[in-house]
Amino acid sequence: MHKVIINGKTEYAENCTLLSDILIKSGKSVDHPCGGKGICKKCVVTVNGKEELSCQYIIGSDISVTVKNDGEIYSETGAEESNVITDNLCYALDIGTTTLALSLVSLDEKKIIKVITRTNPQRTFGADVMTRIDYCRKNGVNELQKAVISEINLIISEFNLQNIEKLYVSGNATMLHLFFGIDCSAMGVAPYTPEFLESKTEKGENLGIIGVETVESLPSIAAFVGADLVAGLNFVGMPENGKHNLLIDLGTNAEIILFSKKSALCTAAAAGPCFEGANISCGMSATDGAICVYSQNEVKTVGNSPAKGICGTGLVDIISELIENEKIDETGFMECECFEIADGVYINQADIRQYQLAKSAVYSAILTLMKIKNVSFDDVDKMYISGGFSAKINIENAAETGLLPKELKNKCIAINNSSLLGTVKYACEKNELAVYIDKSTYVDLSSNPTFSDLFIENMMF
Amino acid sequence: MSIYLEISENLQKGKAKIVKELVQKAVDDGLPAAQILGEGLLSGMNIIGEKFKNNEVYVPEVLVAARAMNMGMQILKPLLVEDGVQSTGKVCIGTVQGDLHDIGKNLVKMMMEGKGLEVVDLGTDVSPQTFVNTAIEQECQIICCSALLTTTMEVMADVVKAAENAGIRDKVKIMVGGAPVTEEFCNQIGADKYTSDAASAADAAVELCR
Repeated sequence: MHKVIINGKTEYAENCTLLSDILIKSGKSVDHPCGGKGICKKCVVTVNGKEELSCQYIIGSDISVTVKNDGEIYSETGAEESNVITDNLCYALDIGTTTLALSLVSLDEKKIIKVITRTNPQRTFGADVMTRIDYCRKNGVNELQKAVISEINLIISEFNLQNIEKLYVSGNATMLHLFFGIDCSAMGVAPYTPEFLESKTEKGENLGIIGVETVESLPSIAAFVGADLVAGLNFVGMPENGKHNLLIDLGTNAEIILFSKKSALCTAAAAGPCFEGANISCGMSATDGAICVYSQNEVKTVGNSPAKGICGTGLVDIISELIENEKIDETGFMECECFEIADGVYINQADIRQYQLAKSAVYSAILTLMKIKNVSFDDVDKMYISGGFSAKINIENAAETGLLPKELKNKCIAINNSSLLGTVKYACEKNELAVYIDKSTYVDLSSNPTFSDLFIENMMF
Repeated sequence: MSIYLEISENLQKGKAKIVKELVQKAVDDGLPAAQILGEGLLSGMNIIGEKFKNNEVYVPEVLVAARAMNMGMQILKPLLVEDGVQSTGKVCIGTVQGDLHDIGKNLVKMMMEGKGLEVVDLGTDVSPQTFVNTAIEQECQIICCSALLTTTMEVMADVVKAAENAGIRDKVKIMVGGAPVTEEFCNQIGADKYTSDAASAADAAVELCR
């Protein structure tokens, strides 16, 4: 046994234990976006005064570890809170891969009373759904389930209420599997088979949730178009006759639905983790010190702290600025080796390449759905974007860099957490969700030749 | 400017039609097919490969260059066979079982062809047995496995085992690559070579075929 002192608190570890495992056990939130492969270098901690990757550090002696706390990931739900005093209450919960958002809802007033958001504690097991599925396959579902349920219990305890009858929950299919403690390994490999897609009802106590009688989940459409998107559709509602709307959830997996009153086409595009800052040299999540707004005249960071790195919205702005100033050409070639953004924060050629992959995946997926349905830009009435960083994204710059179609930028509405808001709407109105499921067809992009061609074409700026 | 240089430069710019015309002209002028291939097409692809490795050009440029090379190859292939010109080596490549992502795999294939290797493309969702059977039947010196997902990369270990079970492990080299794959993983499963990008993969394959 070795003594491991983490920020002054003593833990014990068997010889040859990975430091990251001890950090997870001790509840320290160190991100492992790459799932502990030693690639992303985001889990750096100080061991005996020296910087080490916690996912690669094998404990062989007594050590003293300093973990810098980045704090909560900045997130906005877009929910308006109101003061209502009523007994007829319920909870609505969105389990995002990155963020949990739990809201207390007044069913009489059909209003949100309060929302509490927290970083999803499963992040320590990997940033994206695939690394979580992989963890589940190797270690079972229990640890992941326990992590999310304890965090939910913590939030519920903050509301400080007597028993609430109902909790409505939404999230992508992987998050819902983990929430219910159901093995999601089969979703990790083609043909990506989920154990369930339908709505599930369970007693709160069976899941270990305190202060909730019954839990009801929203249904999913496909393995990678989950209840979060169904909730999103529920929130934005159907377009007028003959018109089409787009709903885009931007994340490591960008889920996209093109829908009309008659039918919906949906897909998931692998955008990669660059919007989370994971594969960008100076990338970071939207925590303290992340550059989140950037132009020649203005640099803003989260919490107005000294710049430490770049988060997704900042990345979009920076690349747009570089294109405008012709620092990168239309092929993405950067004339100088790297471009300094702030003291010690830079962007290099490899970062631009990562962004090119991500933006082309999203843009090409949108175009592929439109082509299949033979829908023109004029036929699209509105383009809703939601997801972790959509709230603060500069639409103009996103279009400039080719992440979103320029033709639709004036029709674009950012709705922050559409999954939470759609779940609240469902809780209040109990409207039929089956219509969204029955009308939906899933398009697999990895075997789609139209997408492959567009993906290459749209990598340019 | 020599016609070889002209072919190389147009190939780098992705001018498929011009490359095809130039190759035809070179053939009509009686130049040897092997030299047109080596000093024209492959030298152009080599430059693109180097630039790709240095991040100076990206996937789209490689793709258009490869398209141009294929146009030239259409004319040269029958002549090369006629002349009895041997390829640098033979490789079978595919994305492993459970994984449908093929963009990285296709890039590697193009880069390898650009090095004069003969490449058998098995597509995506390829079972370990298919890799091994192809290597035996088509006498490939290298099996090349690609995976994009952390959840599928472990199939690569099964490919190594399948090669062992088939008794060809000492005859065939196994290369692995893809976003989640690392050098350490390669060693751990007992594969022969990991490279982090497509151009290095092609260089390594040429090395292994020697």
